[in-house]
Amino acid sequence: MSKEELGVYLKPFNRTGGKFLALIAVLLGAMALGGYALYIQFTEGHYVSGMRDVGAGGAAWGIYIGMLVYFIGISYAGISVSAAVRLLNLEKYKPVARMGELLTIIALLLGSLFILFDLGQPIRGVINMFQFGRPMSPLFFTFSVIATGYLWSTLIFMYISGRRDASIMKANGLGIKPLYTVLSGGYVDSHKAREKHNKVLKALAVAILPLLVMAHSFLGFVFGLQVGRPGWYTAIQAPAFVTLAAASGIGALIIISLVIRRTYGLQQILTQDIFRGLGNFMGAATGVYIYMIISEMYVMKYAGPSGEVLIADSMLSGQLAPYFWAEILSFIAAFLIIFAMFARKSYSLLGITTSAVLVNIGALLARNMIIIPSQTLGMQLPYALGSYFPSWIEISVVVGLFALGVFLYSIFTKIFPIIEFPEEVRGER
Amino acid sequence: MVKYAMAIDLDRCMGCRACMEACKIENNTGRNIFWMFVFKQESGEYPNTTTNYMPRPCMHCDNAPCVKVCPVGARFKSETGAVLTDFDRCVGCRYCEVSCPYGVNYFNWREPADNQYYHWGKGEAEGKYGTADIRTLANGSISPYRNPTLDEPHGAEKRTVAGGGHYVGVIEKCTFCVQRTDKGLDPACVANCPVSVYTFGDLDDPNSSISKLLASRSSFRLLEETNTHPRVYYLGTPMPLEHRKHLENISV
Ligand code: SF4
Ligand code: SF4
Repeated sequence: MSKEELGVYLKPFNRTGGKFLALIAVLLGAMALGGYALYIQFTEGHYVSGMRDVGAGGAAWGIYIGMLVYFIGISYAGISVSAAVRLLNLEKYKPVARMGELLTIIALLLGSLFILFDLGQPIRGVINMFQFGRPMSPLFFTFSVIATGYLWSTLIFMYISGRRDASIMKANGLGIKPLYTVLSGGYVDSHKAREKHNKVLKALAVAILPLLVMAHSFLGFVFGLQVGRPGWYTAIQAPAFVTLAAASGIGALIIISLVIRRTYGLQQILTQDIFRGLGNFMGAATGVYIYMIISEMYVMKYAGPSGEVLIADSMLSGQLAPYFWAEILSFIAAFLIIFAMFARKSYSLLGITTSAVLVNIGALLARNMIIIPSQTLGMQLPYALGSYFPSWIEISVVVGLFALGVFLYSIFTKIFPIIEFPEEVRGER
Repeated sequence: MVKYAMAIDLDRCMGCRACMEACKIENNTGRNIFWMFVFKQESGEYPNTTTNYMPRPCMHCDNAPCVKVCPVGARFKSETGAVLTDFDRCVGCRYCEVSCPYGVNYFNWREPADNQYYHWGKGEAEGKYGTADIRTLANGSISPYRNPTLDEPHGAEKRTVAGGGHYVGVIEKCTFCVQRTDKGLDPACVANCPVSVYTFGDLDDPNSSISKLLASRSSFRLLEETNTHPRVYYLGTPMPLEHRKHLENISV
């Protein structure tokens, strides 16, 4: 491979323009707003949020838990794509593998922060979870499997898969030297080393795959096991969480890689072919999820106990109908766009992006629609019905954490190759 | 081994809510927190309407969803069968609250002192019914919402479980008045009901008044289909669930 071809992979390092700095400034501003909101929340108590007690007119879990579930869902993208590359040898997707891994890590980090900020006593939360953790609680697995196990194993995975690139960067005298010395961890690129490298990654991918299914299922079980909340208690909850995670996670990966492709001019590497494959997968997962919502709604409305019928009515034609139909229609539109492109065998990037954005809007709504109505409307004793809407504090925290995610992602693209070097690139002279 | 249970005779309840008041005074709970709550609803169609009342403490379930889901074991079943919360251990995740089918958990959304009646809290020191006024009324004695004996540990494990208003960001709910039952007294709601709606006692003792009552009269428990095995039994006519109308809401 010639120097120019390697140069394509290094494009992100060359372009640090005013626009990038402006973006960083905006993100820092949003993070400061989030930080200020958090400061108020932890000095005044969660009273400043829109949450109130179940039965006393509110929802005790609000948008924080909704966002936690959304972000954990997004994290699906990374490991699944990496595993597809390593296990099924789908070399085609290699250029987006690292983007996916990074997305997983950042999404899990944000998810963990959302749990932490939702707790009334966050410091105790961290300490007691180690000291007194009870595996019987589904929430325990959200902490252990997701916030620690899944996050750490992805970090390790990413570190190991990044060693080769770090050593190549170092050998070519590019970028920040001490950083790459640490990150390459003694790896010296040679034919033998490369073979070993691929083997290790394959083994790791096999080890992480069960974690992937477990993490998303357990999050479903947090809700699905609660007989006390009409609408939550259903066996479809865990499979539905995994399915929506697949759709929204791949959708987010599509959006991110398209943004990177455009800003850094990487059309040569991130080909349309990749997006077609990702888009098809996302479309299929969305289709399955629509099917799941329909069967769930059908059961709730036709055979549900009074609590479930109340919630189903509110979603189909009552107070919650605008949110519910917005959710369903975004999923259906996203699915139809992909399906139309599939049927006509001609894909457009615009179509794929639109559909990815729609899936993510749908997922954001869906996560909150799973969590909130079962609390505000799902009382089984004759309490008055409640309502919930996030306060400006909660919205600022959500915006701030979103900004944190984008910030970390942008900075990463500037200090480490966001696209894995292909096999032909040599580290040795 | 004692096995505490409560029986509530719905035919006797007249909706005076003395139990709610007694609970508040005993446990120092703040605004919008009702460990004991009496539903009031009107049912039927005019002119054939009736008003019904139904008190609702925590059910102290034997198969309690809230105990099962607590990630740190702060919510637990005590030796007496009361479901208690360890206020020193609770992390404030509110999972118990969303898992409870009966809606009896209350979170300290803000500093308990700030949430007391008459704006007792530190932020609202002056003004009408401010701290200063009340201190004068109380002859300079300690704040009425803080009862230091509630900080004492209970049970074999010596955990902080009694009363309310301990920390911000922690969940609280009915304790069957553990601080009273440990001394052999009845819970505050039971002791203060003017028409003896409540019977409280030990189910393991066949001669206790509650064992005799439950043996002699038919009873039901709320939401038995959820398999929670509540320790609170209801006697008399159930609240009608059709054509009902709330007579008031609890909300902020
Ligand atoms: S009524 Fe609710 S809080 Fe009380 S023991 Fe049962 S599940 Fe737990
Ligand atoms: S809020 Fe406290 S008592 Fe309730 S489940 Fe969480 S840690 Fe346990």
